[in-house]
Amino acid sequence: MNWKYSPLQELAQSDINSRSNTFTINSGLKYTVTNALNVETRLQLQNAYTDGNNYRNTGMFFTRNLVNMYSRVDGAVVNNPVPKEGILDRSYSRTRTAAARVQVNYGKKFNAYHELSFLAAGEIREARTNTESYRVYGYNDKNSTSTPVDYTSYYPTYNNISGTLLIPYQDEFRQSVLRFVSVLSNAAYTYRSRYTLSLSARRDASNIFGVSTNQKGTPLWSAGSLWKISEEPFYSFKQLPRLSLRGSYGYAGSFSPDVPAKTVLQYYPPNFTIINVPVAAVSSGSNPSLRWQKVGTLNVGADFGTLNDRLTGSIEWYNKNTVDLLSSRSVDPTTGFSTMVTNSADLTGSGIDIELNAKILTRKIKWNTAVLFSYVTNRVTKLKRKTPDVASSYVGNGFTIEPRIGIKPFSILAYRWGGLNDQGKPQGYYNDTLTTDYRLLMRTPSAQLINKGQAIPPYFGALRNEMGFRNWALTLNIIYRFGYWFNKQPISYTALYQRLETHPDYAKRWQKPGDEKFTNIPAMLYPVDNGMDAFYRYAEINILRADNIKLDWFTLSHTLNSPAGKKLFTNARLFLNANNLNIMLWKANKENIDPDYQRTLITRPSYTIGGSLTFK
Amino acid sequence: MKKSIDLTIKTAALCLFILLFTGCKKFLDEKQDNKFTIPQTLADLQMLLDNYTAMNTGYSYQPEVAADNFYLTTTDFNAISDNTQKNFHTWQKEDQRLADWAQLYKMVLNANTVLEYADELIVSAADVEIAGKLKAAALFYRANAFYTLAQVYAYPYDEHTDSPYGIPLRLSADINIISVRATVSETYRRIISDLKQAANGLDTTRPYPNRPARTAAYAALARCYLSMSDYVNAGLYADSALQLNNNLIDFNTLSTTTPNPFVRFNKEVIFPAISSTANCLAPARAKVDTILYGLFHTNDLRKVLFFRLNPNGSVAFKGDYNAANNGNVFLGYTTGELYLIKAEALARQNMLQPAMNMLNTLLVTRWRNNSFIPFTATGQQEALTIILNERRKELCFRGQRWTDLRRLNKDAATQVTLTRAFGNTGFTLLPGSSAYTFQVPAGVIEQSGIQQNP
Repeated sequence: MNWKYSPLQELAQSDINSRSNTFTINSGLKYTVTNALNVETRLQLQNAYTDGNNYRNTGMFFTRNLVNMYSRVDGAVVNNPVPKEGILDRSYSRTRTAAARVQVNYGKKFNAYHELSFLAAGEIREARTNTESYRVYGYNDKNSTSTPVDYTSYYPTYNNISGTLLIPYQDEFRQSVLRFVSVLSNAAYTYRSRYTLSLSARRDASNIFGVSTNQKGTPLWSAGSLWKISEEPFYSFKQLPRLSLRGSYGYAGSFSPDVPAKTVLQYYPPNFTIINVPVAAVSSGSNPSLRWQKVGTLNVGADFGTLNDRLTGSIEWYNKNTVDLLSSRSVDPTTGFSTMVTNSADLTGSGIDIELNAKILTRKIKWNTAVLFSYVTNRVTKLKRKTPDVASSYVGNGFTIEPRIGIKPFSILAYRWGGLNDQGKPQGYYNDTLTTDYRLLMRTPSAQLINKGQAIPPYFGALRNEMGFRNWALTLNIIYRFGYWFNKQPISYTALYQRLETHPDYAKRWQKPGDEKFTNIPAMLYPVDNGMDAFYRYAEINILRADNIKLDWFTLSHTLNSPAGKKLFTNARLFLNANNLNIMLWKANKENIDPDYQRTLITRPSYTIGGSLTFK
Repeated sequence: MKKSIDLTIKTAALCLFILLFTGCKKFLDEKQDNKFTIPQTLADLQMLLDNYTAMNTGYSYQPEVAADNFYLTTTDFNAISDNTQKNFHTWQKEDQRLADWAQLYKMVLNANTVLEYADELIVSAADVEIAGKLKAAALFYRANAFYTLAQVYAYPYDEHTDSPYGIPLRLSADINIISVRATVSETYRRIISDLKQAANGLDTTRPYPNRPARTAAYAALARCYLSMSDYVNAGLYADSALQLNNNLIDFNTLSTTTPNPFVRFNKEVIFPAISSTANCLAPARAKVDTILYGLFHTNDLRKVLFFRLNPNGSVAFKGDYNAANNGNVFLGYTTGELYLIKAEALARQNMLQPAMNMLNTLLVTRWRNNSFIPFTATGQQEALTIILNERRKELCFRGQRWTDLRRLNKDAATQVTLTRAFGNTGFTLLPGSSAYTFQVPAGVIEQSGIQQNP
């Protein structure tokens, strides 16, 4: 068969579809023991099914490639161990979720002075997912037939391009069970409706893998207090009828779900190796000295409201101390692992959250605006494991915390840029000397690297506008993120030569001596030096500001009141909701790159149209 | 009616609370994903060792890339974008390739995991024997990985002087243990003792071709002793292995026209091991050394089974015992190698006739029917020259040449100087050069603080 790849034809021939269904049953019962005490139980059962089909007919490269690869020419006869028909991949998955909750509520006002409330609850949850997938060869979608193949014999590949191979066997079964148990309780005491003290504690446990049972539960407690200043007899500030202060301290210990303390094996199906027996690999190693990550949070805030709640809002400051941060670090490869999650550092951080809601217009045209603003900052206070002090350990996208004292977590460190030389090669600095020795540059001590800033935004928030006119309402949500950076994916000649990966910067590259005055795009040199690509990728000129403002979602709705006289329903509502819009309103970088979706497919917006009816 | 509902709710609530506070442990012991497990049965451990990709492939390509079985044209040399391969090929100090070190120590980790869990997981009397065999196999894999590491990163063995540049001997799966380099003699002593223990515990037969039988442990001992120039022991273990398996393929039965004349896991293969992949080793680029190709007689079938002629007259290798030929080499143990070790060991001990008999038994299967005239030798030097010449031919593109060069360069009579030239640049590798020991990957030095090779 033809062995050509034609992208447009692929698109036209492709037949991929998936369907999912979800059924949910909710039930709840409330039992009132006395006026002050009641018991509630809730039960939820959910069944979700998804099935998927990927049919690739003989028009598609995937099918033709596999058929050709295994074909064997004996004189005039062509043998096809993989039949010359389509290939169908099917998958089916079912998730059953069951959750139950029991809650005891107690609340009593003893007299004008004392008020006590108490809540205790237990929750248990299980989500069980079964997935099956399989492939049939020789599938013909017109008459729904398939042909069996021999999975156990080795076939020489055409012209020996891949040695001898088994026909890919794709049948797989998988079951996963997630189980959670939580117990929690809250107690609050209020004196004279002004002073409140509260205590809460909870313990969450799950069947997280490889962790022994006594470490599965993660404790969490907090204590708080609230003072409603505006209820005090001395309070007389009429412009601000609502004002209260609050403070709390909370503590939580946690194990990340993917950090087992014991050796964990992962099973692989027989087709994983050419021996055709099921095999296993060590997926994470034994680390008996692993400790909980502990987080203590101190929180102080104020809530306020002006007359008629024209302007309401809150302001909150917090300080968060993390001890024994769990993070993935590079380790000595002699251990058998290149990275491992370990307790690597202590961090301290603080932040401010401000929320303001304003009712700007309240008459015929309604207009409410909400402004949310957050600022967060953090630093490493103690290092528990050292990272080698060479550039190659630190440069990168800032996606990983490589904690270092004095540098904010998730910082992007980059090579200092020395421009192109007269051969179009990028230059860096080692001990303040210009060089094109890329191996040397990879050993640059971190102090000589340029710290551009964090890859996560320290300033972020949203602006939400709700507008109403008659029966119409429109809500727009605009999000903003400032003060952070991203690593532009620049041209890589290694990728160009090896995978024909193209890049728009190609046209702007250095081509003749003198070009270095106008361009920073390195020359296309042969032989290719992958060290040059690696240096250029993480040079400071490719670290750009990521700040942006985006329109994230909007909802437009229309409400219908029941026609006068006919009480069919109390009201009906129609709405259009658009999510993940990702409409860029402003961005800091000049190269027109969306820092969230660099050379990857943008998540498509989702639109929901719906309606609801309410009956009396 | 109301009362009964009350009762139901109370009972349900009570049950749930009891479940929450007492039944928690059992409820949470259910596995999260049935593709993952902590080692629970001996079968789990066997699956770890059966992981062919992890345990039988990815042995370092460096010795083959640096040896003298092939050459590259200047154009092909320049076309390689991976500088590390170029540096290995021209014997430069190169410390940027981590993959082989990581893969070989992953084998060590898997073996150590089996060694640590095997006894714990014994639940019946029958398990005792199974666990014993698993541990013997694990010791074999670990010793085999250590041996490979020693050929790449440790100084050559010398019975008279020890060197601090051995390899880290990791004997536990605990990641908190700091890596330290053993001396060269400690390294070889550990390999030998692990292999001897493995030989005691392994079965003489194997159900799957990826697994080691006792033959494999003997073959590994023979190869290891040979690299140490301990010819008495090398000969003894080659003999022990051949007593269990002395199969030879009659090359007259193979097709000379197919792209891959040899079948994977053929009857000469005692234990399969494949190197990592280097694109300079692919037959399209690696041209067979002309002197090597010239050594083969017209009636020697290996001339047509191992090699094919390129249109421009250069020669490509096609005799891969893994039947793949895609940029990696087979460096497992075969019966052919054992015949050669035995023959050399006998000749070194001046038993010339038995040595020649051993060699001729192998070669008669390599030559065209009725064309082979058995070799004879009148003196020890002549015998050794013939045997080493045949060793060079039979074991080309098998990752063994590098170790042979390290060993043979100690003797003035068998020393060779390697040279290469690309454009106007020439490269030379002198006997006994420190470049016969590769640099430890920089990533390992940085993370563990162990000493770099000079």
